Amino acid sequence: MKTTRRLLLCLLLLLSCALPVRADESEEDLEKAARMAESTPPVIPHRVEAGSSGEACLACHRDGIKGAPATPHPERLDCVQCHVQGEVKVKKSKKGKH
Amino acid sequence: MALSRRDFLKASAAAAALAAATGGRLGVDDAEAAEGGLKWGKAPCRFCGTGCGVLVGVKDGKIVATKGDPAAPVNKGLNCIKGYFLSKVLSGKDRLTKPLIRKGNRMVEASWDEAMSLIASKFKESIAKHGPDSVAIFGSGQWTVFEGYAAAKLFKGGIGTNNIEPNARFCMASAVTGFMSTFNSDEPMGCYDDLDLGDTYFLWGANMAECHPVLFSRLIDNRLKNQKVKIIDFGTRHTRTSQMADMYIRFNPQTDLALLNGIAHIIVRDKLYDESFIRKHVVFKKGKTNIGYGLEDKFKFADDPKPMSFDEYREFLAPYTPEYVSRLSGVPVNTIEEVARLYADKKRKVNSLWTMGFNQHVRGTWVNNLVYNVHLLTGKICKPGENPMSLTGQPSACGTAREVGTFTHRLPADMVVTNEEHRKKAAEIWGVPVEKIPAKPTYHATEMFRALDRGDIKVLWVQVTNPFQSAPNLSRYRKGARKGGGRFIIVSDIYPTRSTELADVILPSASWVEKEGFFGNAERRGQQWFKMVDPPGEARNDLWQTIELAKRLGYGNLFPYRYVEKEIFEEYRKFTVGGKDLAPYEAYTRARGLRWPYVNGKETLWRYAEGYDPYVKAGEGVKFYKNKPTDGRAVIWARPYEPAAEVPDKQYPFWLCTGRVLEQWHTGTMTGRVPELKRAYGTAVCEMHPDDAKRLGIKQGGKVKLTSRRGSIVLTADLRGRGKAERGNVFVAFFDENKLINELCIDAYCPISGEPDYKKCAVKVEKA
Ligand code: SF4
Repeated sequence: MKTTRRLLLCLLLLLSCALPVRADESEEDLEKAARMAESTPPVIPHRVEAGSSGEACLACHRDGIKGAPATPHPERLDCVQCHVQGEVKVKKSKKGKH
Repeated sequence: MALSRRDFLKASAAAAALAAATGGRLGVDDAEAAEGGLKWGKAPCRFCGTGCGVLVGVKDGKIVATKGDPAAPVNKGLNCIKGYFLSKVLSGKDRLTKPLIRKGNRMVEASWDEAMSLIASKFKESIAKHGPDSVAIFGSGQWTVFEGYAAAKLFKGGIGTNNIEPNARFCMASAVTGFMSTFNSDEPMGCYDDLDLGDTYFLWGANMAECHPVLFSRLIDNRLKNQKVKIIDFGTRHTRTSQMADMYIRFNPQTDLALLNGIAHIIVRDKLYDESFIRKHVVFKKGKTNIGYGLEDKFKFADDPKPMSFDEYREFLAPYTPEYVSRLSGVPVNTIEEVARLYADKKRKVNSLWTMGFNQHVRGTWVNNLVYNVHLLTGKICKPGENPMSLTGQPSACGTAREVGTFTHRLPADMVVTNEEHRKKAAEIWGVPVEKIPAKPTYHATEMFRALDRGDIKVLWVQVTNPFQSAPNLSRYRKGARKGGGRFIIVSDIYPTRSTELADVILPSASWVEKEGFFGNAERRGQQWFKMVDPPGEARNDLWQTIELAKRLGYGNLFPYRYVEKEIFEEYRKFTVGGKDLAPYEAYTRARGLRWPYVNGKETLWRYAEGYDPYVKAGEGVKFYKNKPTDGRAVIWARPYEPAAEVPDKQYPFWLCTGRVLEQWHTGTMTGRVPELKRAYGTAVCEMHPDDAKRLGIKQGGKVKLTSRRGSIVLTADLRGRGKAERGNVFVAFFDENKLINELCIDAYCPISGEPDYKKCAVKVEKA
C-alpha cells in the first residue's frame, strides 16, 4: 500500500514538476536501497578455532541445530569476513586465549 | 567554497517540492519515518581498493548507520567487517579537533590562522634559503581526487618542485611500472566482472580472503555456481585464502620470478602458446640485469630496453626447466607442469590476481612483467573473464595516486615530467609557465625520507597517511624526522598517530563523508560522494588546507574555484581525454561509480578489446593502442630470477614477512578506534611454524623476540592462528602502533618502481 502511494506521488511529481528533480529521485532510490540492505552482521558470541569458517560454521548454523541461529545465507562461505569474534558469553571452553 | 553542493541540492530539492505543490517530499518523510528519521547517502567504503558501495544513514547530523549498498555493482550489498563498522570509524574519543603547534615537548592548541601562518612562513623561509626542492608533501592513496590534484598542482605548478609522493609508492608503484613497461598505460584491462565470468584463478601473494574480502566472496560465489572453477593460491604462507582455495602452492620467498619463467618455459617448450596472438600483438624485449637493491642513499637506476626475437626469448627461458625452478622454489616438478598446462588450457578462462606479494618486492616490476608474459603468450587477456588483474590496497590508490599522478615523476593521466610535451600540456591546463614544472623527478618515497634524514628536505607536510609507522627501516626515518636543524614537519590527520607524535604542527582533518569526495578503485571505477556530516570541532578537509597554503604562498590564483570539488574535477578531466576519459562530474553524483574510459555516455569494461573499448577499431580485435612506440603491441619481457636483497643466513636464519589482517586496516588508526574490531584482532602477534617454535622452546602464547640488522621487537607467538607460517618463516601484521614491526624491515626497493620489499628480510628468532 505504502509503495503504491509512493509511486502515485512520484508520478504526480513527475507530471506536475517543471524543475529537475534529480536530487529527490536519488534520495528515494537511496532509501529504497537502504531498506533492502542487510544491517550489521552479529558478532560471534562463542569461541571459534582459528581458521574456522564455511562448512565448520554451517555444521550448526545451516539449519540452526544445538540452539545456534540458522543463517539466512547458507550460500556464503567466508563467514568470518563479516562475523568476527565478540565477547564470549558461555564459559564452556577450558582453553586459554586464541 | 562560497556555495556548498549540499546547499545547492537542498535548494533545488526545495524548489522542486514547491513546484509540486503538495510535494513528493511526503514520500521521503514517509521513508524517514520508517527508518527512524535517517537520511541516506551513498559513498564508497573508506578502506580498501575494492571500493565497495556503502549507504550512510545520517540522523541529527551524525552518522548512525552504514550498510552494504545492494545497488552497488562492486559488492551487491555485501561488505566486509571493516565496512560494516564504518559508522564508528570517525567517532573515536580522541579525534583531533584543533590545530596544535609544538612548544618544546608539548603540543599547544592554536587557531587555524596561527597554524597556517606558521606553516606558510616555514615554507617561504625554506624555499628562499634552500630552494623549492627543500619542501615536500607526502600524501596517499586515500587522498580524494580533488586533494591529490590540488597538491600536485600547487607543488609542481606553483612552488615548482617535484617533491610530491604518495604512500602508494609503498604499495602500488611496482604495479604501475609493470603496466607502463608492458602496455605503456597504467591500470588493468579487465574489471571485477572477470571474477564472475572466469573459471581459473591464480592468486599470487594475495591473501584476498582478508585483504580484498568482498572480491574473494565473488570468487567463492562463482565457484559455487560453476563446478569448473578452480582457485589456485601461490603463497609463502598458508592463509585463510589458501584454506578456501582448491590448491595451495607453497614456494620459497622471491622465487615467484623463477616460477613464472618456468611456466613460460613449459608453454614455449610444448608450443602451448597462441601463435597468432603473439604475431599480432606482442614484441619481445630485455632490460638490464643485476640491477641492485637501492640500499644506498641517492641510488639511481635507468633501464636500457633492447628488442629481442621470439627465438632469443626462448633461449632466455631455456635455463628455467621445471627441475631448476623446482629446486629454487620448492614446488614439485609435477605441480609446475600442471600449473603451466592450466594456464595454457584453451578450454579454461584464466585470471591472475595479485597484490603486495608481487608489488612489495625488490623485483616488483619484473614479477609484474612476468605474469603479463604468461597471459600474453597464451592470449588470455582483454577478454571477458580472462585477464591479469592487479588489486589495490587503498581506496584511491588508482583514482588519485596513479591517475592524478601524485608521484615525483608523474603528471595527470599517465604523463611524466621528463617529457616536454607532457609538461607543456600540464602547464597549459594549469595556466602556469611551462618552466615552472621541473623536468627532473626528485625523490621517491623512501628517498624522500632519506633526504629528510640527511637534511636535504627541511619542510615536510604529511596528509592522509602515517609514514612514521609504515616506512621500512623505520628507526632511521623516525630519528631523522626529529633531528632539528631547521626540519619542520606538518601532519594532517583525524587521530593522534605515530606520525603526529613527530610533528611540529598537527592539523585536524575532515575525513570520508565529512567532506565531498571522489575515489577511484582497482577496476577503474570512479565513485563520488557528497558531504553528509560536519567534521568535529574545528577540523577541516585537506583540500581546504592545501589551498589555504597556496593562498598564503601567493598561488591562490591557481585555485580560482567557487564549487571547488566540481571545478577541480572538471579541470582534471581535461587531462583524461583520449584514453582515460572520465565522465562529467554530474554523472558520478548519480551513478554507483563508472569505469573509464567513459566515452559517448558509456563506461568501458574491457580495455584494448574490440566491442568494449571505444578506441579499438572494428576488425582490430585486440589493440594495445596506448603503446605507440611498439605500434600498439604489448611487451613480453625477459626478466631473470635474482635473489632478495637480504636472505636468511646463520646469524639471521628466518624470513620475516609483514602484511595485513582482515579486521585492521593499514596502520590501524581508524579500525583501531572500533571496539569490535579491536577485540577481534587488537595486537600484532608473531605467526610461526610449530616445529620452529618447538626447536626454540617457544610455546603458543609465549613471548618471542625477533631481531633483524635494523631493530628488534618482542611479540606473542602464535602457532595456530588463522595464518600458518611455513618452516623458516615468520609473519607479523603491521597495523599495531605499539609494535612497530617496520623497524625490522629492510629499505631495499625495486630499482625500477622504487617500491620497498616489506615481505622479505632476514631475522633471528629467540624465546623472550
Ligand atoms: S574494506 Fe574493502 S572489502 Fe571491506 S567493505 Fe571496505 S571496500 Fe569492501
